[in-house]
Amino acid sequence: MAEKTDLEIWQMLQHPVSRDKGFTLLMERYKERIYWYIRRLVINHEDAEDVLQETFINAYRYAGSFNGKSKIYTWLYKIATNECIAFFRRSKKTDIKMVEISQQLENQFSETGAETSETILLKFQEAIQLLPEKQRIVFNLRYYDELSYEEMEEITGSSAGTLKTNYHYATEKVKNYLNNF
Amino acid sequence: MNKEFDFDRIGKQIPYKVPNGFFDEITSRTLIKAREREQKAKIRRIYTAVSVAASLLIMISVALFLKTGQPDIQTENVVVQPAEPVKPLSESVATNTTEPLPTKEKAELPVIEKPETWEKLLAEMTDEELVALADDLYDELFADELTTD
Repeated sequence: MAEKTDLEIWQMLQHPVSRDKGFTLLMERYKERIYWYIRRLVINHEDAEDVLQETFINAYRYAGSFNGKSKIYTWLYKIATNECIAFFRRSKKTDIKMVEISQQLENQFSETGAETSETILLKFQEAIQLLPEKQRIVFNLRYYDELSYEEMEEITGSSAGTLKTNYHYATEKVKNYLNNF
Repeated sequence: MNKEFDFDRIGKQIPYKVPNGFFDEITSRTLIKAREREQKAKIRRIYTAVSVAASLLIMISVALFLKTGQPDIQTENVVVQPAEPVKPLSESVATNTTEPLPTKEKAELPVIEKPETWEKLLAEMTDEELVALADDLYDELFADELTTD
């Protein structure tokens, strides 16, 4: 059986009979990609799991609001981004201090049994976490997920020019932070 | 670290890991949650609809009650007003006029009994008495005509 296209999956989501099947296909296709995007923003696995579930539950409930003109994964990124922002507001993690970020990241490293040579990775994540919320989101979308500025426009609602500026400032800040390390 | 940081050194590496089997279970777990959430939302929508309907019903009932209550008072007035002049002056002064009369009493006002009494009276009268009465009435009417001008 041929693999379903995103459009077919979305059509399945629209009908009550095929809704659950469509949801399963959608999640199987994008869960890892969306999970890692969320995880890089919220750091903690449990938080990432909650946000991931909320993202796909919203996709299940509001499938009718997707117009089908854009790509289905940009729509998922958009929901995930909004959920992450809501999570930041709830936990007020946008204003956490550098020490707290380092502590959180170090805990992650100790949990995963990372070597000391991977300290640079920790510092890199630390630098990203210190970016302002918008720049952090833009940096993750561009650097890790390699999305185009047009796709990022759909996700964030900002213009391509603003996004390019945000990304430029974000990379400069990360570089400066790591150069001083 | 003096040399310029190079992003290629890091690449797309991420220091995080996920628990074993996490991605195998997450789909079914999320689907169950999504269904539950949908069910709750459906129940909430029904409750909202029922609440709105109940509120509307109460509002309509109150409006109808107030509307139907007003004509009752008006009909009472209609019944009471013509009955009042029938009462003798002494009786109306003696009784409390502000106190509303019971509906049964209003129905028994002598408006219906009057023709029966007159008929009885006329039936009991002799021919001579009737002629005398007719003469008297004629005189009275004639006298009224003379005085009203």
